[in-house]
Amino acid sequence: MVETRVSQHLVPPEPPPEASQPGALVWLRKNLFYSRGSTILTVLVGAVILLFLRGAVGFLLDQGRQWEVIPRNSANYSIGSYPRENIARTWVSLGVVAFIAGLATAAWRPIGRVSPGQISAAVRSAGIAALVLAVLAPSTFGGRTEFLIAGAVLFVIGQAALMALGDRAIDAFLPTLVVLGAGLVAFLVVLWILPISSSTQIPWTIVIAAAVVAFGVGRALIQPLGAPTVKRSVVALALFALPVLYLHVQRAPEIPWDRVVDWSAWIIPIVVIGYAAVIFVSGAEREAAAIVNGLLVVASIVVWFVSAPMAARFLLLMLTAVSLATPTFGSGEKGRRTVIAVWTGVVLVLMYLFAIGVGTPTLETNNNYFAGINLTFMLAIVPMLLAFPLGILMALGRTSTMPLFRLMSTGYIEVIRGVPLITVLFFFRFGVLNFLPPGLQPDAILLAIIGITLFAAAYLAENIRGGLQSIPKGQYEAAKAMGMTTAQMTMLITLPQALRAVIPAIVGQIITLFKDTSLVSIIGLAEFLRVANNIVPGQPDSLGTKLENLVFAAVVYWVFTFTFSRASLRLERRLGVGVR
Amino acid sequence: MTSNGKKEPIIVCDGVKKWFGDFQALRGVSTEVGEGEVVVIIGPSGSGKSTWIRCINRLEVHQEGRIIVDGIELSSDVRNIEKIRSEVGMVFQQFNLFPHLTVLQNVTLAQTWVRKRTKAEAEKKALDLLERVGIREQAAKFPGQLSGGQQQRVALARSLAMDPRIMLFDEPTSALDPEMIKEVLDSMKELARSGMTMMVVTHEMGFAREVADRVVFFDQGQIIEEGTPEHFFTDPQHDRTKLFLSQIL
Repeated sequence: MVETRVSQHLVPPEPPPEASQPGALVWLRKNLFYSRGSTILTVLVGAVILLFLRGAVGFLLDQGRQWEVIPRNSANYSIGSYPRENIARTWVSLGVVAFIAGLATAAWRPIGRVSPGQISAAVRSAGIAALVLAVLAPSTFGGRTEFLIAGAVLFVIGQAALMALGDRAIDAFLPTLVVLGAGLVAFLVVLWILPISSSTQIPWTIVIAAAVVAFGVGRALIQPLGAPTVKRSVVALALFALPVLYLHVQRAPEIPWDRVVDWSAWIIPIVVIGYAAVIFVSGAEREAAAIVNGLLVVASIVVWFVSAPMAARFLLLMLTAVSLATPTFGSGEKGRRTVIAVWTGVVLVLMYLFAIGVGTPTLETNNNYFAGINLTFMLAIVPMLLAFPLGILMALGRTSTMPLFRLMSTGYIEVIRGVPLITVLFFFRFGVLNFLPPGLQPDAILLAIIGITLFAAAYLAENIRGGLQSIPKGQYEAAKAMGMTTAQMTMLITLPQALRAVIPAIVGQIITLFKDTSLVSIIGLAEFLRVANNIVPGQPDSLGTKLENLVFAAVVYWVFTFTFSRASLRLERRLGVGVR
Repeated sequence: MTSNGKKEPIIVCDGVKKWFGDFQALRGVSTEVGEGEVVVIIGPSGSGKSTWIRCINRLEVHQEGRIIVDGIELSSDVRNIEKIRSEVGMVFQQFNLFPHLTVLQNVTLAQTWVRKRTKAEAEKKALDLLERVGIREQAAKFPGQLSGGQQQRVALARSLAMDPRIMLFDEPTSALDPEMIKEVLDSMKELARSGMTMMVVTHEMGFAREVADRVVFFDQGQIIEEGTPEHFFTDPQHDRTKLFLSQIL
């Protein structure tokens, strides 16, 4: 029989029962020794780890290791054989990059926080690590006593701090910025302690000062200008500063003004037509705009088959892009002003880049005016910036309903993905010169950049296509039902969501790209790994130190990729706010 | 047949046919909807009623017959389909809010890009409409942080922000918990009283009885019977209609 029951009181919520902290022994038994089999496995794996650590420690701390070759060759690692009397140029570019990084940190405030408890625990762990190293180290190791003392001191400090903090260890939070600043200070201290020449110490100090100043400037600008403006400026600055630094500051080209003036026969008409076209398109009906855009597309293709200056070809290409993008700048008087400003900017930037690009470098250094980490950075950053728009275009092309675009994109992606990067690099280093007119002989670095860009774009395109396919059909329908054009729907609705969805894949792609830059050593460029593998061990005072240098190179690559993957994790969490 | 014979037709369908592969979803649908009229379409699932109203803003493309919306015929060479779509708002069963934008941005986006309003105008309009559907205080949140009923009201505000002349509703309450259906229906009733032309596919018979000017019973890709709610719920003529009503009432 069913009895009728009516609840008389609503039960208020209660806090969850307190979780009991399990002791270390309980934890060990639950996780490592919970059965006979697990005990055997734990012992075996533990032995392997111990033996490996002992071997590694023995290698790293062996008295025969000459780690001092690395600080001694810091210039080789940073910039290679760049003319020493012009070394300030490379420091200037590093300083500008640091400045942009500082601005970016201020604009995209890192929201991560670290508790004092985490810092104390890290200090304690470092102490334990030093103690373990000292105990494991083989007999040839001389610094056992120092390591034991240092480890014990760190352990005691960390443990004492943890106990003093007590319950507050996890409550009180420090912004990551403080930790970051502490890291920079630590870097400076190390810089001045190690036997590094003062010609390296002083510029590095200035570079770090530039980053700190830029952070302050950025924070000060956010209030009057607003965060979005600052962010856009940082992006624009980065896009413009990098080519200027690498093409202008570091190469110190002699600008051939006669050739710049020579262009006028082509350039001035194109600039004028450009203004007429974008002004017309921004106010025209769709059909009329489509006709103008169609003419521009045809012209920008035809110009590659007649004898026209390279600058004219690129300018026409950019004009077509600006004209096609005109609807996204808005309509009416405001839209017209925006598109005129955009076209003016494009003309100025492109002409400037061309002038300095065709100029002959005055610093002749056997084509190796870029080397070391300087070259590695350029080969990673510039292709990534260029491959991104290209990859997005290819992804959109491959998902497009227009068969010609689809065919072109699919063909490009499948061909590039079917070929190893080394082959692409070889082709661009040795093969492509046969197809170019005699006057146009780009240097090896530019060819490598093009090769890596095209390679990365194909993979990026596939990642982004995956993201596009994950967008539910309803998103397209909702956008269309409100009267959005296909371009608006793509730029505002589907592409932003697709890019968010594939951040992990894109980060993986960037990390791969960063490591793949080491492949350019086979076409004769002295990037970071080649410096570590050939150049430094070949110095008369550094013979027989290949292993030290390779270990150092591995650590440097790891530090960069690890930092990157951590940063991307935070980016994912932050962008995850709007995810269903 | 002109409904009620009192107003100019704003939507005209004449022999609309549509196939998915070999399956014929619409078998010749002909009717007219007058300006300001509220038409509720009911019928079993799979009967083609959603396909029909999706043809009216051309999310589905009909293959035969004529559809004329606000004086413009929808055909394969129709220009400016975006312009027609911006006059015809639509609310979907699954809300289809843009998850990467806040509620306010969801409502302002198409206003600024399609209607070319300034940001200030668009935000004022958006906040007024969010107020009207009773969720102004949620403007800064993301869709994923709202309940289903709130999301659907955002979707309604998003459509209304375009100042449409016609609103289409494709089972707007079918994905909602029973407790939330009422808040969405109340907003829709308020809209109907303001004189909006509405075509509503729904299973909410109470809504049909209270708000509809005309009820259309749809089955097997065609209109079986249509008429006023009083006629429809008290004196249905066709056997199929009687069977359907006997099963749901």
